[in-house]
Amino acid sequence: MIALQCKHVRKRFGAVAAVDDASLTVNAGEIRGILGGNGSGKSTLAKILAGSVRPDGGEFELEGEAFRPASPRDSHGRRVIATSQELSLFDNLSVEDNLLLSALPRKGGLFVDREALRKEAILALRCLGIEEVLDRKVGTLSPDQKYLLEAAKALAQDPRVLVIDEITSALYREQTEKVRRVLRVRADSGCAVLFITHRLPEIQEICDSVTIMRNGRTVGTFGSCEKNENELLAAMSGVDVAELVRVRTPLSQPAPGTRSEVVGLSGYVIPGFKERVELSVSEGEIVGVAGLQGQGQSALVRSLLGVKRPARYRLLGTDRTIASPQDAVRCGVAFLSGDREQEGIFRARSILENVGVVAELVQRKRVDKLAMLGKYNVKSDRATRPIVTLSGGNQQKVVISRWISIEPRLLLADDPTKGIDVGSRREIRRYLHELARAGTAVILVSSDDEELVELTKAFDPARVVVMYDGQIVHTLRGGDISTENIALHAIPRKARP
Amino acid sequence: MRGLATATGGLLRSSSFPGFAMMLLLIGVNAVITTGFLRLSSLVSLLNLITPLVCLSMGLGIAVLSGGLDISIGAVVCLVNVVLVTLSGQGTPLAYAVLAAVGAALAVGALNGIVIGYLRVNALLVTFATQSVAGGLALWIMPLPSGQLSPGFVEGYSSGTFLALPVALLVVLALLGGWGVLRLTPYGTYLLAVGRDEQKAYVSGIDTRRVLLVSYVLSALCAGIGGVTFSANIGGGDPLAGLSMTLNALAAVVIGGISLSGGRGGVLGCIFGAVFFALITETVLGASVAAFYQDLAAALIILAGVLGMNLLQRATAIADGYRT
Repeated sequence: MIALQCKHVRKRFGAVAAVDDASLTVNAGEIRGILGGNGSGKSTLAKILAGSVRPDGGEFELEGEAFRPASPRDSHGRRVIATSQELSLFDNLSVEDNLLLSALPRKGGLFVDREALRKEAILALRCLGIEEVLDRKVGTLSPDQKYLLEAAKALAQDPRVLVIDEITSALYREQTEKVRRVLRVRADSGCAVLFITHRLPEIQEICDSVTIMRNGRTVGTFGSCEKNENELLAAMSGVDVAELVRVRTPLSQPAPGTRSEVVGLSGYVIPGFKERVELSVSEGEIVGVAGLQGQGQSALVRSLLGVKRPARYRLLGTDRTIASPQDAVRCGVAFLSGDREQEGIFRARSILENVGVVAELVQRKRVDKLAMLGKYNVKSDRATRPIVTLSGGNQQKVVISRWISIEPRLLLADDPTKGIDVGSRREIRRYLHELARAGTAVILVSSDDEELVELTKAFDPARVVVMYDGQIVHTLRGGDISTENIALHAIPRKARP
Repeated sequence: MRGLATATGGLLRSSSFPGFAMMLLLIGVNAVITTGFLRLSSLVSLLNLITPLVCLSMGLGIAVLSGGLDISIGAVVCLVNVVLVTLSGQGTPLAYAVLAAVGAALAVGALNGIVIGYLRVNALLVTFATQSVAGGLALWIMPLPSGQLSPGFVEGYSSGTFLALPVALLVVLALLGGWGVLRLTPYGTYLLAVGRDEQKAYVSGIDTRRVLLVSYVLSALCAGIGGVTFSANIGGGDPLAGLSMTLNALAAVVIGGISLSGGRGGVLGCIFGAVFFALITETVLGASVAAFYQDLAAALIILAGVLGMNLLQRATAIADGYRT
């Protein structure tokens, strides 16, 4: 039975067509992957279905009846529910309130039925295995718990059509597996699921079929096992398969001469941890930082930047106290965060201002911002538009061009490709390689092990350090760098049988 | 034992705690330096005096929790005052005069709520404009201070009791009770959600326009009730006397632990903040500061109070895992 049918959906933001002509038909009980590059319109399509973005045109049918998603309340009423990549949670409210916010159970018509709320919340949390977050405020949860809660919130609304927008990028493998199982159970009981992702393996693991979007159009729908990864990538980017295979082959690097140290940490204690870190990173070197979530990786790069409290370490050969991020930037340290909303973009400002902000306001030098935008392949019709008119990947490229324009000696990156599609990921990887080749030391934290492997494996000198409980427990080099080895060393020894 | 520890921990982490602690501190200081401070009669007259500010800051607290601001409340007090005095001067029964005065306040609140919630205009600008509207109306009704309220009304407020409790205390308890009931309804949750992120609340299917409308009506209702008690305090009509209360109430709200960015805090804290604020004058008088420096001394205490509140709150917020 057809659950949802969309025909010729269109949406423009200014001069940019976010969704140009999207059509798709999903059956009840089907899990449909939506695969597409940044700016391909998949998130916009999700928002249109959720009622938070009003389409310019197109027809929608739910189980054969006309459907007009004009507001979030319309979509909620028809039980079309979407999770949001930016999270729709309120960190000042409790987990229970968040879960059932749009349909708080009542008693006596007036009051919230706290008992019923708790019971429903426990049920909703149990199916994703996060009962332990009950009664806590969302602000105190870790990112992976928040993303699971976002999924639980959508599931608690008993959707007929469920749109999952990129929640797995923040999750661990076993959590993704749990999400997969829950989605399958929901699908078997008649729910249609649209699963937006940029992780190719997940298409085959989780989805029955996949619709590919490119430049705001749906360009094809296949069974999830009909195409291999290269063929999917090719359909997504519009590049020939043979071309793609060539680009993905790593190039070998010429061996460098002697290199001078950029950062030296000896006996460095990451705030919030007890153990000491020993690390030395030289010019032109890429160091990937891996580990289970919350083992001090993000805290390490933030503390080196002087966030929250001053940090003391050897930078460019001299012992320095970095009193604040401003201090760090003056010493040539750049910071690329995956949390674009909080630590990347200035929402209300134009693309141009977002490029120039650090160089012009902190370093007081002029940069050719338009040239930077061209160099880093930012797609936009006018650079004076607010940066929020760009897709996530293009926003991140703006942030990269901002930091590269200060000619950093050290780049600190924390999950820089979070929520970004495969195409832009490859570009960003290439920019990081270019930067390191020009002599910048790069320290890159990522929750995505494959990402770390791809970035470090094809580069020399590069290594991956694995952290546990605030210290470096293992260093991988060259041929040893693999997701298996990272996973092996990320788990503490005593916990292993 | 553990229950007690949890309760204590909850109290310490509560956003109202810093305001509560500072209020206690100031009460302690006054008990020592102000002669006769702890006498029942002086406590009651102090209570009568500060109740208008307490009411106003509770209402303003709701507007601030919703992510906005309501600077029309001082002018609402003026409007309520002149309507009440004028009507009762014309022989309208007191109950009707009070109802009409509070009704005028509700009208201003509804105007605020409709323009802010439904027409989506910035709250500061809207309430700035309605402040002039309400203040202008008050001056139009009564260009100069005049009129008198019936002694029965003034007496009834200042020394009347019900179940042995002073009227002013009952007013505050009634408002606090109303807030407690609101917190149990979905509105209480929606208010915090809208205050934290209006866009997200909208996308979550909350009728944000109605939540904002209700918030500004409640703010005006509290200001209206505050205006009635204020009128009982001054005993006559004055079209300008209430204006200065807006910023005092705002200070009380901040000291009470409500975040100006919305969505964090509770109305209980506003009571502590308002009492703290009102006690400062007492303290300065009690410490026999020279008349020239009284305002300066009072202002410095407020600054210290806001600063102390901020430091305490930052400490508890970090414990709570919030970004500061």
